Amino acid sequence: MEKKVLCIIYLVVLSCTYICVDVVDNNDLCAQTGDVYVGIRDRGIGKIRIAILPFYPKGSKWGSEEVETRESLSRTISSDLDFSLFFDIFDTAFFPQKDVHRKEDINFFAWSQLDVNAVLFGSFELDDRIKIEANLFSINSAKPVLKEDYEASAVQTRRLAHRISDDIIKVLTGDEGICQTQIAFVSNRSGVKEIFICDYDGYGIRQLTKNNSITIYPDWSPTGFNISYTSYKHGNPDLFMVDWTNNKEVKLSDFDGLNTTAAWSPDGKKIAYTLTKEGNSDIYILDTRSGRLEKLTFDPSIDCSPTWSPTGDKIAFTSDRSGSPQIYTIDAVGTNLRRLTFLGNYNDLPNWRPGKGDLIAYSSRVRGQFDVCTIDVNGENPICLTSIGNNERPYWSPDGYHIVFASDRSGNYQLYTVDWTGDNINQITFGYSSSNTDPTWSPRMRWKFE
Amino acid sequence: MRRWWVSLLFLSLAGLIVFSGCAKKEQIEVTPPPVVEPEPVYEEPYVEPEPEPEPLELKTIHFDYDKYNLKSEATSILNKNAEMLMNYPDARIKIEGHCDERGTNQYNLSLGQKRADAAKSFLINYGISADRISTISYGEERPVCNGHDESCWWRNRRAEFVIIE
Repeated sequence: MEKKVLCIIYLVVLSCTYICVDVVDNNDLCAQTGDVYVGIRDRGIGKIRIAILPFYPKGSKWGSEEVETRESLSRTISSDLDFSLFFDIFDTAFFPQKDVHRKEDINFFAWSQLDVNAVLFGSFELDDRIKIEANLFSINSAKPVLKEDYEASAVQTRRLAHRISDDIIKVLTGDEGICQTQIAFVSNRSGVKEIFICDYDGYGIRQLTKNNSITIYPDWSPTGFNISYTSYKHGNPDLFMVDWTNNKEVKLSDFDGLNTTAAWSPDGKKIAYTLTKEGNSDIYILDTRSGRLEKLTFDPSIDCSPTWSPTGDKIAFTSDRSGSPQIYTIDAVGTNLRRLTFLGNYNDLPNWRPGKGDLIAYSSRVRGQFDVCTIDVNGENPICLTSIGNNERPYWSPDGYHIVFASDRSGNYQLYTVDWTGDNINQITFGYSSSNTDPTWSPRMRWKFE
Repeated sequence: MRRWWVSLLFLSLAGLIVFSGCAKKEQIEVTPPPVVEPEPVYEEPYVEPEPEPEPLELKTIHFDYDKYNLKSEATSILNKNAEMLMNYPDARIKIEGHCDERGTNQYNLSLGQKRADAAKSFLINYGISADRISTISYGEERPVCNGHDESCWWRNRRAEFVIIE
């Protein structure tokens, strides 16, 4: 009896995954059934089992560079797809075949026996540029679901792999992936705090600001081009914005006192931030086009750290009006103030989950050190995702299924990612002499390769 | 025997008279030196010596954890600082608010500003002109002590008074 039930569940799950693999021939249909795949991630079951075959070199050249490139492609795509939570990466040790150059080479029967849903194979050509041909086959329908040529400068190989991953996610789930996203953060590796950027998995770190002055609290504009931050470079903590693609900088706000903890509204038109120009720390909303400034909070206590709901009609922020820092929500027009957190004597750094907008991540001190926690927007179910060291400044990935944060669990502060469920805590930056803090995740991106 | 004694006495007395007469005759007349009139001395009236002005030095005040109200130690230091500023009416200062490493950087920026503002309000109430005082918060970005316990934390929770002119 139990066996029967299990069997039925198994079949249902299987048919679910088969549906999503099969419908990919029709992108529109796939997009319509997107909820099915959101369901996969929310439940953590029914993942798409994919086999990533080693890419084969097209030319006759076969040296260490080719070996390295092949490894890098497989490794990057595997970890991207694994990270996305849509996929179950099939272990290479159990591959029935590795050498696949064309459809005729695929042993569909063998793969289907192993419950593999999709197989990725392809070729590459490497000189100072890299050219990749990627093929993705649905095992169930025996049809190609992706056949694409990619080309970039050889130094962009990893990024090109991220593009392939996003294309695979799109074609199999209808969802836009986050494999090409970036993380901006603060590092003191140059001796003073400056803003740096890296790929979402921690690779490709590069310095964005060179202010030679305390520069902190970055936030991406929703277009993905501008990053706002606070810098003391003119003496006062002023708010700036830099276009990271061309390093053009604009000063946004330089009122006396703090101009800090800026958060872009989802439509990219406004910035909510903390000003102390009237002698008290309050939240204001700045219209970045007209320059119009509106005051949102009026309490004589400290109000700071605003974050917007994905619809832009609500703001969560920190206030110590109760005697200790706690998270509150308020309508962006200033009504409906509500206290959200009651557990712990120090809650700060709220960040509203994009997409569904059902959760707010924040830093909470309940065990003497800070943890990354989430709470329902109605104030219920506070759950902490960490339990070691201090864990601060949680920031959601644009798909709302991951959180990046800074933790001192290994000694100095480094960046980590964690699934929204608390699983898969993964360190993405390293360094013994310098610390990395204040991470903020870019919106989805699609790189231009030249 | 007795006569010898008397005659000796006579002789010595006579000798004494003869010699004293001689000495008187040999005395040299000396003209006294002219009297020099002393320069007139005008005595200055006594005045209290001008006290050396104390160098302008403003002391740092400290705060309790996660607080920005002024403790009694802080207000007595602030009173002295204010007095000092009264003596230097041209001096301008910047008050820097700082926090210890606990708490979040973001909240601590606001807390540091509150601390600097609390000190500023005190000085203004004392009578120091507001346009002589500016403030800045560094949150936990500029500790004076890098340890990770209260022996350092209390020193970092502070408002510093920097003379800018």
